[in-house]
Amino acid sequence: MAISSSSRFGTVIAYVRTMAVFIAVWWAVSVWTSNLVLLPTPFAVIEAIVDLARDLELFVQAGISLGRMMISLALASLLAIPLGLLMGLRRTLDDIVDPVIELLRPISGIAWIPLALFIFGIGNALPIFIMTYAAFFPILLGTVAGVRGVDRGLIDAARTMGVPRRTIVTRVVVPAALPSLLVAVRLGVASSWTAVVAAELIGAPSGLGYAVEWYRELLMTPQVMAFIAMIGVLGYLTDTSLRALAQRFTPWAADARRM
Amino acid sequence: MLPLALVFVWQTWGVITGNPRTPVPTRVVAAALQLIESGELPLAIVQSLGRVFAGFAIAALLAIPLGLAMGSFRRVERNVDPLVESFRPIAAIAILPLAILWLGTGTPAAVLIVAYAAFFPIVVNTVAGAKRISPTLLRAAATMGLNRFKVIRTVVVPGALPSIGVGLRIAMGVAWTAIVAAELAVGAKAGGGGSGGIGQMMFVFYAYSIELNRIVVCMIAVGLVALALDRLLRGGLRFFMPWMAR
Amino acid sequence: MSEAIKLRLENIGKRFDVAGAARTIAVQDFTLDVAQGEFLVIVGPSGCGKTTVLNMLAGLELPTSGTVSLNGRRITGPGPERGVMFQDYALFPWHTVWGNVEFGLRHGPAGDGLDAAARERRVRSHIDLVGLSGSEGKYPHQLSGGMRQRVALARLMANEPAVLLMDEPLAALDAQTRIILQEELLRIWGQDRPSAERRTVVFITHAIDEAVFLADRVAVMTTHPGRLKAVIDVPLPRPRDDATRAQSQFQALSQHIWGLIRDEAYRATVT
Ligand SMILES: Nc1ncnc2c1ncn2[C@@H]1O[C@H](COP(=O)(O)OP(=O)(O)OP(=O)(O)O)[C@@H](O)[C@H]1O
Ligand SMILES: [Mg+2]
Repeated sequence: MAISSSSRFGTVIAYVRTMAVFIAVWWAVSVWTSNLVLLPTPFAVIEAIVDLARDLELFVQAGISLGRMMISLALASLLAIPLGLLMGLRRTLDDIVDPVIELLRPISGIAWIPLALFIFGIGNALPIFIMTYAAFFPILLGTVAGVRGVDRGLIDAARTMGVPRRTIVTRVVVPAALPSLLVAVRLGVASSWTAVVAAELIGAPSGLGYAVEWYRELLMTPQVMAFIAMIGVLGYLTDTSLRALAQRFTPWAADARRM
Repeated sequence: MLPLALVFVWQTWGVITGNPRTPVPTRVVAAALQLIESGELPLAIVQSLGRVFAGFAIAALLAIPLGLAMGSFRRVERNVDPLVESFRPIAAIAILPLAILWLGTGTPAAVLIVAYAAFFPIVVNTVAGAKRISPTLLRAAATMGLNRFKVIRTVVVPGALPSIGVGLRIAMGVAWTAIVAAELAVGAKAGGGGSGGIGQMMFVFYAYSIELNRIVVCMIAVGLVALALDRLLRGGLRFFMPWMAR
Repeated sequence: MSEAIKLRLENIGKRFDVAGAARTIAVQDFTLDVAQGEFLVIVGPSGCGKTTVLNMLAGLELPTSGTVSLNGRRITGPGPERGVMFQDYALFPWHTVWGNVEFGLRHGPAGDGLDAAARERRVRSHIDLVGLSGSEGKYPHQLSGGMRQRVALARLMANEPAVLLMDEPLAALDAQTRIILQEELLRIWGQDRPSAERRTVVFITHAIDEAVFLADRVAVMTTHPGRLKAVIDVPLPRPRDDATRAQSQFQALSQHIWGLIRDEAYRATVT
């Protein structure tokens, strides 16, 4: 694969070049405006990142946000995947539940924040609730679509072989729906990661979103940017690792991952 | 059926267990009528929608030409893609503190957040659409003597349109979520002195009067507007793409 | 009378290098001249490189060795004087039948100097010609395979290119429509006119009777790698019509060409 490796090398070069230009422009503008609160230089931001990393504050806050995301993802999956499987398998259940889903889904997780603030107060429960809610719908809809998309022929084939219903679900339906299920989980994570920032910004005493807002109030813009960068890096890393996970568990489904 | 049953359960449960402020359907409806009559709710929605449309338009005007250029010219893609991919994972709300710092707590900051949120789905889908165009269509146009730019206008743009449409729909959903988040956060951080909109209205109901029924009205309004925006966009796209089956 | 040479393929070779796979030699040592006003038909088994040769004439692919030229000028890219009808039609899904036929006239140099009325007349007449009147407003996905092919044919003809490069243009049609369009095609090409006023055609087909009916000469290709096996003259008198097919010479030529490709066709089918 000589072609692809040389083009990957070219991509790396292009990346470095583009980011270098970007940082140079940023530096020039920041020097020209010379207002370190409004626009600190790239070096000030790097310095802030190093300081925050040395204090471990960067990692502590990131760990808190990531932990909340893990819990929310687990909760959302635990609720949405079984429900999605049942809805995908049983038309009647789908007909009953789907209207409720379609009523709630347009109300974004973020719109729940004021009510949730009242119910849960400021603390861990609020961001976890919001993130679970945000992750729930993509996972549910993806699971239902995945089960629906299972080739009827596969199920019929198993039935003609006398495989019991329960085994058909675990051995045919679940594996066949797995690729789209994993895509759904990825979309759910992306959606809850967007929500975490908003939830922590408003209603949590810790986490990346809280840190961003804290340092904004102190007008310590380099620190604000450092935490924003951390949000981006973690968002990117979770998505990449979920892709890799999908690749490992469903190597036959190349198409679903390109989404 | 089930929604009606749930509403009924909610009503009886709320009346039996709650105090007079607990939101139940009848009180929510009353609050909704009140908010509509006083003009507060329509005004807040119009304010939010104005920001969404402004930010969305800015995003589309930047993202569609950029996406077309990236999808048509390999060099452009190579050099711009790193920037797009670096900023895409940063949630729009994370930028809010910077936006407030730069633009204050008024409409410009909210518009910036919306534009930022809407930009990425549009770019990514435009690039994908431009790249997915069947090469024989490009070849067919070339054999009829069209130059590169004419091919972009007559083949790449219409060919990418369905995908651009998908991007616009996603972007509209994201934009609406972002405006609610931005207004909420501005409300939370700037106090009641913020700049209005449905998100801020919700926060004021929470922080200053604990009007739970009114908060629920706002949530429902957020959902309905999201649905309406999607319908509107879908209808518009179907109008512009009569060749799409279904 | 020596005819001017229009298209020239000199020692053409075309190699495809595919990453991670063995390279394919699609065409090798291919030399052929096509005269002004000539109707040349290429036949050969599937995968022998017919489309590749046509693409090089169109300028859509460049040969890896040798040169392709038009009127002595080397072909380095596509041009409006060489119209192509693609094997998979290449219709624009967002245009109706009318819009597809009009495309080159509207956006390309073929329409230069035409006012709107003249353009409309040209489109109208070509839609009528292929028998699609009444379907102008339909989109490609609403058409049958044969109708799509006729749209592609009308689009090609409406641009009036000097050279027509056609890749199995009639393959998806039913037998009756096909015979009618073969005669139509000869008429449009100008079989009643002197060769200086005819268009130059390179036409690919799988059907041997179609090749003999249409061609001045039939080029027979063999596969792996794609080479020119023989070029057969078809001295049947023009204009040709139904009676032509009944002539013993028509039958004899068909038999002869079939004999040339039979072995390979069998081999290609069996393996
Ligand atoms: N872009 C390409 N990349 C790699 N190989 C190619 C490419 N285009 C054609 N080939 C190969 O070149 C050979 C000739 O292909 P070509 O399409 O010219 O055949 P053809 O004679 O037109 O066949 P058919 O009658 O089926 O249309 C085939 O082996 C094909 O696999
Ligand atoms: Mg071919």
